[in-house]
Amino acid sequence: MAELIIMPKLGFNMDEGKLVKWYKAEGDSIKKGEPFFSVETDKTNMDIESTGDGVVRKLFLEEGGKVPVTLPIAIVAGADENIDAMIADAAAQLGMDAPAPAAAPAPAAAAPAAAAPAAAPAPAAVPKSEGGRLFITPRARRVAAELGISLEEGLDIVGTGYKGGICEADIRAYAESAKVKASPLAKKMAEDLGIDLSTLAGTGPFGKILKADVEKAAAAANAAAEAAKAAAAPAAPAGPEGAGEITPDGKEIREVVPYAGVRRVIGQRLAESKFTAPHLYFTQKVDMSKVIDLRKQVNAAQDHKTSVTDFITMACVKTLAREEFADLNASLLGDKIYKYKSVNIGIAVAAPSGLIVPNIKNAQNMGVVELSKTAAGLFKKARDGKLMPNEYSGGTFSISNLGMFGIESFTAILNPPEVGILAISSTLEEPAVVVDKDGNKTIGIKPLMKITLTVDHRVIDGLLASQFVTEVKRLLENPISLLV
Amino acid sequence: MKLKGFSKEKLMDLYRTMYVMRRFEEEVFEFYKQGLMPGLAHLYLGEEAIATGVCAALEEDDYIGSTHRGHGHLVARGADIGRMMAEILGKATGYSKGKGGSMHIMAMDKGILGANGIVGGEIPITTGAAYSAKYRGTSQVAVSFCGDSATNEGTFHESINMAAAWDLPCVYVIENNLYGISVDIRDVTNTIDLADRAKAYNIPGIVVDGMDVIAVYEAAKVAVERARKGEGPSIIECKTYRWQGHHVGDPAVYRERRDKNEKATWMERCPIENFKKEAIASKLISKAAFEKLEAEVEAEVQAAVQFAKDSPYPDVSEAFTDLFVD
Amino acid sequence: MREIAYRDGICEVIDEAMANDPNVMIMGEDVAFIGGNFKCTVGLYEKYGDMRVKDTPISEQGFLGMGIGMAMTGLRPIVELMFSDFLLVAGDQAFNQASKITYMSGGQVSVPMVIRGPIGAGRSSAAQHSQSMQAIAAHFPGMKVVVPSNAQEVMGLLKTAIADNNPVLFLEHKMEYSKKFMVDDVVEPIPFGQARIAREGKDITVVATSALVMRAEEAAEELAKKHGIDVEVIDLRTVVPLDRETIINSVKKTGRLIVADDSYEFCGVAGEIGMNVLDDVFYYLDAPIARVATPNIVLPFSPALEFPIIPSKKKIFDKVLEVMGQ
Repeated sequence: MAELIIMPKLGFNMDEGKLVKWYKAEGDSIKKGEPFFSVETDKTNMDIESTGDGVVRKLFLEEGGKVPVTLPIAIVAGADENIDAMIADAAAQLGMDAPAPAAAPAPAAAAPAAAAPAAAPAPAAVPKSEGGRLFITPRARRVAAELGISLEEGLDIVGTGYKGGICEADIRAYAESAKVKASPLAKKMAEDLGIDLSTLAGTGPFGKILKADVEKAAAAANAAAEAAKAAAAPAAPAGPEGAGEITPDGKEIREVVPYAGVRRVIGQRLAESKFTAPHLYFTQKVDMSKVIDLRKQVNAAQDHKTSVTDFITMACVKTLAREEFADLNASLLGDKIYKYKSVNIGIAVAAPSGLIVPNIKNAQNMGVVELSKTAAGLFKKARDGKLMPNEYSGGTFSISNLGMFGIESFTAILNPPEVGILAISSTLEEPAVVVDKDGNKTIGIKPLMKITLTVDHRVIDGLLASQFVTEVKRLLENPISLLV
Repeated sequence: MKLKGFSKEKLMDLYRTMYVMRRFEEEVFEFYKQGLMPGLAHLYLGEEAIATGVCAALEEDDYIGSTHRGHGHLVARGADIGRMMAEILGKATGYSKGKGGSMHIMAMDKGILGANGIVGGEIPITTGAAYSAKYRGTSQVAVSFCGDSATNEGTFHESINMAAAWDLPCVYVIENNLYGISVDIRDVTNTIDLADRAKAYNIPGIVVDGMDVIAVYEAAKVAVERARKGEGPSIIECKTYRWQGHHVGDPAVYRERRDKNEKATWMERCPIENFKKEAIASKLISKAAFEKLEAEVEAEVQAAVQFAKDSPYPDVSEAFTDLFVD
Repeated sequence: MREIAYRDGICEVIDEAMANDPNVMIMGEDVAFIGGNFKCTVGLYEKYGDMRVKDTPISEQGFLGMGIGMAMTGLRPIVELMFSDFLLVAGDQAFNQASKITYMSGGQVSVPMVIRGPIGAGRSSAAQHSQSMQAIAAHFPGMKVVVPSNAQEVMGLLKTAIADNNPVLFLEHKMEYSKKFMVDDVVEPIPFGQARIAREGKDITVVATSALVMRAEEAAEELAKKHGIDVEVIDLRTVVPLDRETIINSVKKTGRLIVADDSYEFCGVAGEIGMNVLDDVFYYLDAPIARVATPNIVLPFSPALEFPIIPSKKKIFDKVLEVMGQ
């Protein structure tokens, strides 16, 4: 039985996948469970195993090629099986224009009709049988499925076919109209700049995307990329490529790097975050002397080496697990705010392919050593590019720690749909006011660390944010409570 | 029955043919009673003298058209009784690979244009073969057998009309066994001798005793010669009787309506028994010679029965072949 | 290319076949002395004589049946029915005999016979001389059924019909006999079972038989001009054997199918073709399959009643618009 292999959707936000490597060539036999190919998702590379036995009859994608998820990339079949029809079908799918997304920008059609005054004549609607089934031809239904158009009730397509039913032409016209509308210049620019038009909101008539919209998006993306680069500073071991050339305005180029792949996805997501969620920042200075002492004691008491970061993470987890801070352990999804009991705390890691944020699931149930061990495992996988999608999705709050790089202070960009992220700067010995047991104040030296909370001001107000950073500071300055 | 004037060989041949038919049909009847035979069969028991006498007058390349009661005609033309039996049992080795059955046994290699399930259906076809013979300029003759009831079919009149108009080399043999299933021909036809219908076509029409193989043979010889000479068709009506009902399993109670002893009376005129008695009485053939011949026939018939029983059924894929030829 | 009347094209092909093969002959009512009721055999009697061009009595069952006997014994008869309606008179010989003999005999014999007859309404011939027999004929297994369109097709397909070793029903359209068409100087035989794409189009497929192919082509030109609808017209050529593939491929392309055929709509050729391809084209259909056929009423005499109900260019034109949702 021939099987059509599709580009897997390896995460909620994954729209397209890059085929990194084929482990099998056309004509090779393959057994169930054998590695078949490797996919670069928006976060990591992942090996996909064969789900059946057979012969690799057809590969539709070259290594390095990209294709939207769920589209065909290969056919595994019996050696002599006729797969012509399947190839034709796959080719048709791959050859078509950018498919209209399932959640197409269709105005909700059914609802207004229901709400309209009874006397108002119904708009030219799709005729339906008494059972509510659409009058749509088998051909139109098939084409809709190919184009990824959902035929749920309320689909706003006016039938022009036999007896007013929906025919193929209606589906194709709908798909055309559902595509991103942009001016030709904007389209060209977007293509040159590598900007996905579907992520932009047009400011032209009827939402048309104009040149200005693309320029704005490009600028934002650049800014975000810079920020991300700063955040992921040590992750830049790239060798000099395309160097030595001079730009038309006289700049000597050190290197030209494609803005693509994981880098581009990170960029797009950061830009989306920064320009969608109003960021608000709250900073505290934490005296880390007790944490440093405590860590030494903990590390002396058992085999595993905990880090200062683990204690900071623990302080966040303890705080987020409390009901009064539940608003910060949350996601903003559409028109709903999800507040979680689970604290899946994410920690930004500079992986070879770019910034990635694996998260520790249900950290609220862990002691500091267990948390530390879990974190260490995730970091190693991240650096090896071996994270599984479920290990970097599903987070509820993030930490970005640049403490080891001598940074005095920085802010972090939210990791959507999370509503809070804590930026950890370096612990630096600084002159500080020291109060002795009699209440006398003198200037002394203390290990101080700045923490800066970023919140999504759409859902988090300043008071709660202030209370959170203050509570984390309190826990770190009285760290014994982190162990109980 | 005037046997004198015939050679012993000729008489033995006639007897042998009739006796094969008799034993063949008895075995078919056994098949039926044993539940070995699918469907039905129309037995020729009692009518053996007709096919035997008529076909004795034919050459090897002549044609015959047969009826639903056709086993005797095929035997008389020398068809392979093993393949006939196999066809009757629906076996792959039958003449039609099990696709025709009792009513549609066809043996083109013996000039048999086929038994026919439609009463009178074979008459135009046989007439066409006669036209063909004349067209091709051969001396072939075609004999169309039919029952009494077929003489009331349009095909009978249409065909004989054309054969007469065009002097076709055809002989129409009516086997008048009195009944069309249960209907007595005398109740539905005002012509006492069906051969009289020949008058309407301005051709010879002869009535003969269908229980007398010699009488049938002599009449056939005349008609066949006439046809062969290009003088046109004839009708021969053979008065006869079938021992069994219309088909195996027909109790034939209708036959007692006119005369309770009808069947018994006819059976006393058995063409085979009487031939044998006459031949022995007139010392033309010894009893021992008959016994020897009968033993030979018995062995032949038993071999045919065994062949048919042992033959395989056709594969179902066979059902989809032979609809058309290339 | 040269111009020839449809009827003369038929005569030319028969003449050529008779000249090339002495076994080809033609028979039927009025075919000899007057050259046929529709003048398709003019001059053949004078050329080939009485045996090969045979005027028959009005005995359709008889002479069609004779054709079978001839075909089984070496001839290649062409049997002309003055009207295809008369096929019903000869129904047993056509459908119980000719169509079945090859199969019943297990492939022992073939029946290389062509039965020609005109179909179609439109000349006030009323109930018994206006019918189209392709549906009833195709219903019975064992007979090929040809429904040619223009003169080129008639000639090419008739050549194939005469050369075919099976019974072939060759249905001519009586409204076309006197019309003139352009044909190749030498018309090549056209194989059976290969439909012809008479006009390529992308919006809708019209499968048509016989003269309705021409009506569909005319409707298609008008639809293209007036409505911008691009009709693909398929000339079916033969109902048996049926070229499913050409129809299926066309419908997969266009998404819409209309079948136009002169036989009665109920249990007709149009309905059969629609159902026959449905499972292969279901997911490609952009509208229901539709028919243009003769409604199930007795064909009336008065032109005021006849013309509005029979299949026509206008009926095809209107049906295309309906199916296109216009």
